[in-house]
Amino acid sequence: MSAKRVSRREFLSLAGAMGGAALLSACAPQATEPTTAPPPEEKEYHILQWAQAATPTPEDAQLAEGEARQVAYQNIADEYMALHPNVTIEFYTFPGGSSSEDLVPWLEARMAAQDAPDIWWANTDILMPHFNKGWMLDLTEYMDMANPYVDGNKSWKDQFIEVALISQLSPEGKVFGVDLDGVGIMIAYNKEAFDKAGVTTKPRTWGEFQDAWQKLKDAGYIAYGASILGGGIGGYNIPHWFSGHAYNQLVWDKVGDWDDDGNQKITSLEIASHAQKGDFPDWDAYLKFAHLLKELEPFLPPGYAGNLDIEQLFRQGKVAMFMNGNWATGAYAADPLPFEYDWLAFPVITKDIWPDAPEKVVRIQGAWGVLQYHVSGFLAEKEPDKVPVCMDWLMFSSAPENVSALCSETGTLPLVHDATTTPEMEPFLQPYDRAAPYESWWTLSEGGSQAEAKLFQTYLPGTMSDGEFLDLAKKLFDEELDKVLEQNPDWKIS
Amino acid sequence: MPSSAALPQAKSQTAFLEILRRVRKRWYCYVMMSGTFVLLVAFAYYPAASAIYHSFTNWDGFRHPEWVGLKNYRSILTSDTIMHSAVPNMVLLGLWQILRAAIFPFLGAAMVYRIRNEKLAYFFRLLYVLPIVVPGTVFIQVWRQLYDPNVGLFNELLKFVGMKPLLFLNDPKTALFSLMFIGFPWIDGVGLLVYLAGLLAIPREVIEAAIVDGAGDLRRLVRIELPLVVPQIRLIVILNVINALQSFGWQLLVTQGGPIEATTVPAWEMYRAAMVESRFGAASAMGMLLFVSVFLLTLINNAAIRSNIEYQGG
Repeated sequence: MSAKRVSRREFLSLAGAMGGAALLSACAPQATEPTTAPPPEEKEYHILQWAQAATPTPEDAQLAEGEARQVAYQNIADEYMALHPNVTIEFYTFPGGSSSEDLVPWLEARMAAQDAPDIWWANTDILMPHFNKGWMLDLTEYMDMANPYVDGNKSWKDQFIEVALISQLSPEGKVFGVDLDGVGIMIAYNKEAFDKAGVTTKPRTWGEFQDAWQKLKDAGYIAYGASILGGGIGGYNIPHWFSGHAYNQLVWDKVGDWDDDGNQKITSLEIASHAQKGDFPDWDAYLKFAHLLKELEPFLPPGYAGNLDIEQLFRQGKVAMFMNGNWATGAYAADPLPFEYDWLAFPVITKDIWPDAPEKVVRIQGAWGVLQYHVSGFLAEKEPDKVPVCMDWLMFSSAPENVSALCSETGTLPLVHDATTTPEMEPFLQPYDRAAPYESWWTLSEGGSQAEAKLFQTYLPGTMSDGEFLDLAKKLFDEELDKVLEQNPDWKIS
Repeated sequence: MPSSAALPQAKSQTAFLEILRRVRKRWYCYVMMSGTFVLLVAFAYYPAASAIYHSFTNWDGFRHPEWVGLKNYRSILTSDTIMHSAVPNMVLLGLWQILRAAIFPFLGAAMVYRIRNEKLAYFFRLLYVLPIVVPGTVFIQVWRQLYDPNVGLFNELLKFVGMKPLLFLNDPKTALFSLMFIGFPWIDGVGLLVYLAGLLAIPREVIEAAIVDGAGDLRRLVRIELPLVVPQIRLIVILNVINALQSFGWQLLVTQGGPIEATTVPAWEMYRAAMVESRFGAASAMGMLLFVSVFLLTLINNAAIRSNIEYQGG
């Protein structure tokens, strides 16, 4: 078969058409790219922000049954833009979910392309392995500046409840996030199940919880809902949140030894440092923590070693209690449970169980809510004059009245002094003795979380001896430590 | 007179000049192809070359890569997780996927092929093919719900017949086999269509001649139809081998490779190394090893799956 001859005229026509098409496509506007600097007389700024759960609902969005239209942050933005007509605030719609599985790959791609929104959400913990990559601006010096939108404020950081800052510091003690809200973790329980099982008083200590679990199990309930794997609530329960509440009680006095920078938070750097020195973790306390989980094991749902939808089981009335966060109050208000529920604090471990137990209340409470904002690091080189504008906007957002509006809409706990929230948050505002400074091997690395999950998948259903458990735990921990040190060679102690 | 040693060199020079002449004559064709070629290099060959390079480095995706030689490969080949869990799981899942893809869609296609009523044949073809439109993640969530140890349909059926419920994906002993059972009765729509196309391409006179010679249904299936669809089988097998080596959807969405590495595969470990641990060098090394495996298996597949009777159309 021979090729058809193309005449010069035909070729030039085709080339011209293709060139025109290429030119048109290059000129097409991009939906989310910030505008360039305007003429010198009045520079205009376009700030693109991913506000996570506070993202205003687009006007043309179809609302699900029970879902309310979100307007708070748009109202705040409109007020700001009225004060600063040369600034436009646009809210970005994130394409995926907000779990770390979705977020980190998205950030990897966006940061490599340098087209991430100017301001974006992430729980700062998720960013721990990535602090040295320049993804976020260091905001430490801005925290020392006065917030012009709050009367009498001399230093921005004074606005924040202490846990907002200490729970989000980088391994080197720097501030990378503006944390307007937080979460608290408690145990949600089915009041009807408690009544049917004859649990008449709210358990407080570990022993009282064990009695309650037995009664609930005898009444046919899954006494305690948790699973080791899975995203969402199930995967956070064991060992992550359980460790945060239990292990911290067992090492109450040791925390100070590990907290090298005195910020009341054990960072991945401190874990790596003390692990190399041989004094982290406290393996005796860790073994006791494992024993507590073993005591809980008979009351867990079948299949807890894998991925379970604990929320579904609770809603169906099969699970009597499970650990959940304050955000659930909003979800339960929008889609009410078929029974009455309330909240319990995590069991207090008493001295008969662990002689060094402080018998105090530890709560996982910190800035892991939906209003944790970071500023893209590449702005410092790409658009340096936009950085102060972004910070000014965030300062405006952090004014107590604005945080109140946002927290009332999202159902989260404000971490700014004088800000308020919904009445349903009341249990989470109950006093506690210490916000958990350390939670689990997740603090070391995301891989550490999976290694610890594997450890308890092996230990809990099986018949390992204490020695076998510790051998496996140390092996898995050391493997994760080696990986972290490989990624952060300057953390190695020679 | 040129020497005998100079003759081959002269021939190759002439051939090269001839190629250049032809390129110059049709230069505009090559110009028009260049765009596609550039995109292919940029999005296919460059990433592959980059992965080859980075497989010899310690790289977190952002900072300057540090050359470590064969360290990543040594780590993979000496890793208990990879060699004692991931690779055996992949081999088992791969073999099962090959058997599943080769047998059941073919049987389904053979049954549809034998339906004499055209409308009925169309109906069954549609029935088998329609599930293709269900997105993969929806499919996974449906099966995950079926397998739920507490509220799943399978355990409700087991309890109904008086059997003890199972933990399926949540038990290391049953997790892998639960993964293998997914998709029952394993009549994949695409495979069925490919086999059916192969069967429909067999000339009618071949079938009629076999019937006249007294061949029954089973004999016709085994001695005539099966050999004549060997090209389709080869295609289906190699596609499923590649899929088996590369897929980790279930691990990503449901099992995270567990419980206790019961369902982990090399592709999942590669994803974890890159996206969870930011160890792009190690992930690249894993990718290279998977590529070599796919390549070798493709060669073996092409050599091993042959038929003495491959129908030549024309």
